[in-house]
Amino acid sequence: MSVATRPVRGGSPAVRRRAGAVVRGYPWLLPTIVVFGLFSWYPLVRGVVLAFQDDNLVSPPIWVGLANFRYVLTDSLFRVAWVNTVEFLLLGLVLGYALPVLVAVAISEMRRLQGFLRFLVYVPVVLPPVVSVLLWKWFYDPATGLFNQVLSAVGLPSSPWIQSSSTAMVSLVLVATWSSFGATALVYVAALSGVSGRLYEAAELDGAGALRRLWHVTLPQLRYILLVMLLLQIIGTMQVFTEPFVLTGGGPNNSTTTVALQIYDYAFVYNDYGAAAALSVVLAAVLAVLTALYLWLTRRWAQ
Amino acid sequence: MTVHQTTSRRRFLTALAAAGVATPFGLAACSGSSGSDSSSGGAGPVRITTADLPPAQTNPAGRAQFQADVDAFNTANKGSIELTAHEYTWASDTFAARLASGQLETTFLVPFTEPSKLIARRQVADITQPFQATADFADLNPQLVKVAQSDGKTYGVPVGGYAVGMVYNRAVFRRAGLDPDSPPTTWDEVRTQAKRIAALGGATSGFAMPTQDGYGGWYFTMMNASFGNQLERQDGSATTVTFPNGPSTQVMQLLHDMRWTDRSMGSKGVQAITDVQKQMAAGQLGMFTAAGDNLNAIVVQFGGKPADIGMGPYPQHGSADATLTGGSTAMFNVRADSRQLAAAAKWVDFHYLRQYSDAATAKQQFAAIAKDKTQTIGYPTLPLFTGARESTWEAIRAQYADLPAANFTAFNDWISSATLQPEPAVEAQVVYQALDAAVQKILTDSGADIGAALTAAAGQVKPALASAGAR
Repeated sequence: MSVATRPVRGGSPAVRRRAGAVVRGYPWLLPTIVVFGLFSWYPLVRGVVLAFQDDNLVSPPIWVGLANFRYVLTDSLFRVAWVNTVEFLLLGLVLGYALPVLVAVAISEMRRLQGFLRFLVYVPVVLPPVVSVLLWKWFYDPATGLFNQVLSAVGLPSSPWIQSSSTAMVSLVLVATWSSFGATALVYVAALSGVSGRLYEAAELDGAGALRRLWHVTLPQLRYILLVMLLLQIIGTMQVFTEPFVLTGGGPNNSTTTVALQIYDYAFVYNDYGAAAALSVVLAAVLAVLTALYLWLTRRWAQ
Repeated sequence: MTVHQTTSRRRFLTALAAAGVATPFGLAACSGSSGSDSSSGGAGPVRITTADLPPAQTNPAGRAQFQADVDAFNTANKGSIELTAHEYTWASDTFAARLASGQLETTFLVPFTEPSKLIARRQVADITQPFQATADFADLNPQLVKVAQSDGKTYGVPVGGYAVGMVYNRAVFRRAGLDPDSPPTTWDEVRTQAKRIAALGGATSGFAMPTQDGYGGWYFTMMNASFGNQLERQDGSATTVTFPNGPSTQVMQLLHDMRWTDRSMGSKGVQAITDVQKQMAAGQLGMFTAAGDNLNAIVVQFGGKPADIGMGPYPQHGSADATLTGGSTAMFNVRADSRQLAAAAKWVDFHYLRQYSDAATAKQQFAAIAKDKTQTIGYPTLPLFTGARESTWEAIRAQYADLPAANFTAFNDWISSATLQPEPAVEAQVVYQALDAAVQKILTDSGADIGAALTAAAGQVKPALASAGAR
């Protein structure tokens, strides 16, 4: 309101008109404010409050102070879930971060079939996540799955894939990478189309080969978008849930139990909503730091 | 979880629902609404809702039958009760939202693994009074009633019960040169016969065990029962775990040896119950332990041949002669008032139990199921009632059975003398989830340290037991 009233006191007709426009604008925001309030802000606040309560959703909640936090922080799976989540994150970066860039560069370099290739790369994104995960479940079947059949056909030893603690997480990362790299690749393709052709011409005139052009022209030109996508990938993979939930249920031996899966278990397997909320708050705090970093970087570049 | 429980035991419930759970009516899935319907108001008719109306798409015959029963109930109670049926099947991940929003039905079915948790969290209604006031309930099998009892109070009405035995593929037994009329009765025999079956080669396994969604822990608990071991112990007012100890280590060693020494358990240490049911239906598996309602899923969902599927006793080690139960119990909305609870109990009696006292109703309902391609009749159940009404009902069921009763003779001969062991009383889902991981460890890592795996599981369970009800 202070924004709306201060200029009015200023007096000039132009300022009054502007102030009137601002005031009239607020009703248009109302639907958005209501929807966000109901479905984002209220649940967020309620979630934080729940983290300090013992609530069975029926009786009046009981305030329990930090008991829920103490419980989740001392749960032997707390450390396991965070280590697994960070492992998923790092493997996702190793296996999945460079891939969309390379695919985008390759597509951009194509003289023909660009549209078709873009479509092909994007197809996995169109599949509902659960469908693609179930498809991969069949790929990974140790006895009858596609991957081991192919491996044995070419004389290679079979892999346990999701049936071993040592390979399960990598297997999940492959599924996640396959499912999502198409969308990221298209962002890079779009970004690449904005890189001036003159830069490449100049580089070619200077005798730069394909790799040097990639290193000295393409990547520097994409550096902002690369960093943005890096942060988005980190924020996204820290909340990984679908792949372990559908493929492994967190196994074998909790080797794919992630923080989000642990939150689900607290809430819906044990009906311990306070513990679920407490762990959610911890996860949200970590994500908030990363998001703040993301906002700071993007604003800095915008300036 | 699970028993994520996928949901904690969501798949189990789905299987129960698909099986029609000892009630010849099919069960159901999906949403519904209207907590406001559940307000009884003042002097007018009591408004109540029931879950478990079968969905029109997958079970039109069951839905019509269910709705006809709702109409008959409303007609019989005109002016005093108004009942509406919803297509909702209880699931742990939707239950909380429905409860919190006031949209939960007045009565709903839950699998036997859930009542202790729901009672401990005070999320279901105490129905001791209407339970005691209903004459039919007095003759219910007390072993099934106690699943939903705590501290002398009753919270549920069992509508179907099963005991876990050994489900086996008779065709696979014959291929392996084993007698399909003599399923194993001890774990030693299971081990020997599983080896014979695995020797058939290809993708055929001798024995399998689901290990996801809490099933690994649940099955491990069952194996321990057959070794004479319970996984929880009351220590004064506190509850503690008994593992690792001698029997739990022996059970784990047996699984380890079957998986890695005999190689009779296939190559999957992480698999869901549906994966195992599929293998059984496809003739790729010799044996797995399961409750009778699994036969419905094997035959209907996965196309197994009824003639090929048999069920024998739960294998034992020593003299325990114990097994666990599965099944379904009707529970009640904790927000409902006393009039609504009485009306809902009346509905449960009318819909689920009437067939046990009225032969014409039983015949009519079995005839309807016989036409329904999504359900089978004749898989082994536990007696829901004591006394003559159970035997009368079973005789009628036998007339309509489409699963061959002779295939279950070994199980039926054994079950009447077996001990039905209750599930862990406190935080059973936490126990199952923790043991899922331990079982998975043993079945996916040939060099796994059994003691360490069990100790880790115990370490995960202890804080939950210590804080049960304390936070």
